[in-house]
Amino acid sequence: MHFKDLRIGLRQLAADPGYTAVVVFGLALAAATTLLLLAYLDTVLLSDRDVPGAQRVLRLESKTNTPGADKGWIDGGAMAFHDHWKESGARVEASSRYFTREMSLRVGQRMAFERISFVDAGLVDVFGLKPLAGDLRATLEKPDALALSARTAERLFGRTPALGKTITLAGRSFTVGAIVRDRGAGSALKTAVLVSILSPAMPEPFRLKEWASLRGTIFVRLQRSATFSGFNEQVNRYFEQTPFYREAFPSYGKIGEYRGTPLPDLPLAGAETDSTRRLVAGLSLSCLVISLLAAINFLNLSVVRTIGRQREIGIRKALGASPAHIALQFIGEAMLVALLACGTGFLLAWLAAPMVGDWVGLPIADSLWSPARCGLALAFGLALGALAGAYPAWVALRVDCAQSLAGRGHTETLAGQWLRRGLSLLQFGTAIAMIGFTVTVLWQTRHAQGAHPGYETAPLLIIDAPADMRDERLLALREAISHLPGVDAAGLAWDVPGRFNRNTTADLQGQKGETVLQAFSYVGPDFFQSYGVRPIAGRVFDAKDDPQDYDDRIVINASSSRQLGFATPAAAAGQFVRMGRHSVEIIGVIPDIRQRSLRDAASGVVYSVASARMVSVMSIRTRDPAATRLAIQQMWPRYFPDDVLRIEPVRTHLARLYDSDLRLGKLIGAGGIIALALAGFGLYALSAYTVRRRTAEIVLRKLHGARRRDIARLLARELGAALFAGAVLGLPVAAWLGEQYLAEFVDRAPIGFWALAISLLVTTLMALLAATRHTARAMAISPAHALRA
Amino acid sequence: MLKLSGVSKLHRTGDIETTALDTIDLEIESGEYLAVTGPSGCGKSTLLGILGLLDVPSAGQYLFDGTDVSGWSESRLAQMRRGRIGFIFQSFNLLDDLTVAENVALALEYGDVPARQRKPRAEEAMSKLGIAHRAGHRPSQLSGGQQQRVAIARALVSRPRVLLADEPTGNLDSAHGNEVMRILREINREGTTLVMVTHSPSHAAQASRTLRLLDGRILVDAIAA
Ligand SMILES: Nc1ncnc2c1ncn2[C@@H]1O[C@H](COP(=O)(O)OP(=O)(O)OP(=O)(O)O)[C@@H](O)[C@H]1O
Ligand SMILES: [Mg+2]
Repeated sequence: MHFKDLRIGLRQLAADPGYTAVVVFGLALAAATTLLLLAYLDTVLLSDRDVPGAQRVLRLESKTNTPGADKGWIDGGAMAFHDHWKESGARVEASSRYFTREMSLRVGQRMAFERISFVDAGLVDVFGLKPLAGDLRATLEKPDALALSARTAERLFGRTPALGKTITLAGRSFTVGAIVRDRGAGSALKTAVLVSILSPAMPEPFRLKEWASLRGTIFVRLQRSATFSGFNEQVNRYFEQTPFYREAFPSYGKIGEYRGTPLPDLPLAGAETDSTRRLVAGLSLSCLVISLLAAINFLNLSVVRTIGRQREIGIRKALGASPAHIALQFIGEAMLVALLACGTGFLLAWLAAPMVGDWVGLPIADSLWSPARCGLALAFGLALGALAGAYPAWVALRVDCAQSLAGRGHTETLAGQWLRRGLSLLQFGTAIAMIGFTVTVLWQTRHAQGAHPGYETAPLLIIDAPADMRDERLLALREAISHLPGVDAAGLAWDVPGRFNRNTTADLQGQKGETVLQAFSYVGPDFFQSYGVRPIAGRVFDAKDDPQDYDDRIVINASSSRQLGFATPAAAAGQFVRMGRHSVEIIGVIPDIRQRSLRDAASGVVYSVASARMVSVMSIRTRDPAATRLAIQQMWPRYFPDDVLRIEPVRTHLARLYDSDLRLGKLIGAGGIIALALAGFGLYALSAYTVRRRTAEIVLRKLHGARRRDIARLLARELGAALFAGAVLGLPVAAWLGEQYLAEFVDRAPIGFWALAISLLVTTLMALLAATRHTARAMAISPAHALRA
Repeated sequence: MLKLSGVSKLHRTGDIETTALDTIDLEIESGEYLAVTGPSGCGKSTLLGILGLLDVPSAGQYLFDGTDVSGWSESRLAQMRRGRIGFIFQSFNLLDDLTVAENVALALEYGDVPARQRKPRAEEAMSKLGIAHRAGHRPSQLSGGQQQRVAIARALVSRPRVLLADEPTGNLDSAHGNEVMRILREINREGTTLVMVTHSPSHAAQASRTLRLLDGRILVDAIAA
């Protein structure tokens, strides 16, 4: 192939910047999304690829089968297993307990807030960890040593070597004994700071022996001879003969279940991977649709252009160009466009990586560039180019040059016409489906953002305290904060409603004597005042009363009152009901406040002050959040000198609740808008060609007295048919996709058929706009000019 | 030099079969100037297409320069065409995306002419036809006569031994037409074999030999006195 052969193609590209932009930019977007998808998958799926024999490394996951509890698998389980592998018969080669928590630590005068992972020395064997410096196994066997990842070491100590330095954690001194490699963001193992689980800094040591505890987990490496099914069987058999299982809640039957999930399966098939799977699906869908549209645009427009270039092909053939020449020329042109697009795509991916990384919650920009992936993306682009060039080349090859040079046969073949029509139709259909789906997702996302949690969020600040109510300092701090100017109330609670989704439940006896399972929430005495929640019947707890008075008293929400069988909230207030083995008094009923995300139905909740000792979340209601925050920052070190203050508006916490939905919404929204733009530009360019192809016809009709109206009707008929067929194709897909997305939400935006109507309207407008513009242009052409060509 | 024996060409459109050429026997000597005339649709262009290896006969044998090219593949035919045959068309067939100079040089791109020599050769052909001052223009910016001269320059630049012209003056006024005829005559005098389709009896009369076709057959084959 001569480079000169590309001259005409290049000049036509330059002469037609609209077409070029549509094609190059479309393909570039396809390449960019593909790259980003690959980078994301790489981060999610391959972070643990360095673990030798990863198939034999399992994480213990559990499921609670009590009625009312979340039915899914969770990535936690009883760490007590660690001491009982022998008795259980499970063939475990190495095992490590794993408990992580974000905690404050101190280096000299500097404070930092880091994720600490408490583990056993067995972790070294389970993951095959090799330290970059120091002795990792020895470090994890000592109660007063810890290991840092390279990045954490740099964060804490800068350029000076961290090995041998001292760090204060939970009031105790630790020596840095080893440095380990940073693991990918998608790794099942967080290695920022590794500390022996037997060290005194471990926050909740009781969990190590507790069969009921599901916080924390275990990683094991199976022996070569062991099988998964055998392991799962032995684990469950052993669990079912523990005293906890046999005695706790016999009425529920099989209350819990365990499984081991192999390391490579954790990212997508492990527990709590719903949102990852949704993200992967969302990204793949966006990527697929964008690539599809880009390819259609490319193919469609290059076919149209090839048909317009039949004379050139004829001349080239007459001058001695062989079929191979011609084919190479067209494929070469297509590859050139594809390469240009790939380059632009790389640039786009690089620009968008931080933003997309933010949306998917992973630093994918880190793993964007690997030689393998760049090569893959390049190969993909070239393959796409070759593919898109193949059809035009085929069309070009079949040009009969004697005919073409005699001025005959400059039209597309019937098959070509149908192919092109089919592609346009696909484009209309995809546009309609994409718009419909995008409208649904964005609408629902907005709805979720605006959903009222049941209390006023603006004045509320939340402190995640490092100690619970048993600690005098926390009570003193609460007292001091409640006297700050502008502060209306400072309450304590087990958690921010909806944040951790804790599965604590209580059995209540309904009005008909049936057992009603209710979610259970511990609160401090001032909780309701701080949230500004007022009872709709009866009263709520009050800090001024003696907490002892509340031992057998509860507050319930409206859903609970209904589920217990009371006709009205007022009927419930003041009633005594059985809870477990006690009789408790319902002192009041509050309106439902949102406990979980919009995916979950409002459920009955029981609030209790009794045994609220482990409450550590403070909620502060203030008229001037900024000033209050500042005041708290100043007084904090007097109460907790060794801990970082973590204070945030409740809104931030709530936003996190919808975080994955919002991110998915943004992702699909962005993909949808890109797809829409691609489809729109493609349609625009295509209508332009349709009109241009018919320019001679339009001019001739005009010559013979056709009015504007007649010509408009001519084009409307062609466009209307494409639009109708596109709607038949696209609307069901849009409806189905929207339904799939909304299916998981209990609280849905009132979308109905609006999304479909909007998508139809937008597509029609887009096509109309393109056609009108080009028709007007064709009408303006002077017949003399047109007939000469 | 060109020898057709029993050549026929059928066109088929759906069920309808048109016989464009019907068992033609024809031998053209090197250096000859042959004019082909006949009513519209008699098969002139078809004959030219076959002579120029653009089209293959449905039946019969064609010897090009002593080589039997019947049944050759498209790429072998293309290779044979390269640099050996020049074409001139009634509708010029210039590419408007290229300049005049590039249109002319296009004919050298597929031949064996080294890249270095292409530009001087194109310039030579253009000055011979008096269009060198238009080298940077686009074809659509030229008059019909000028465009046909560009087409002739392109046909000549590869120094073909055979020049095939299909109604080269059909789109030109008589003054421009006569000018083109003069150029063609000169080319023939320099030794190029010339086959020209024309509707004009006066132009046909300038040839050394005249062929009259009717319904795909040779009606008259006359050598000029
Ligand atoms: N692709 C085709 N399909 C069907 N018939 C064809 C095709 N090409 C040519 N013909 C027919 O073959 C016959 C010869 O055509 P050709 O173009 O050679 O005529 P011509 O003598 O050059 O006419 P004109 O003087 O009008 O250019 C005509 O009857 C024409 O209709
Ligand atoms: Mg003809």
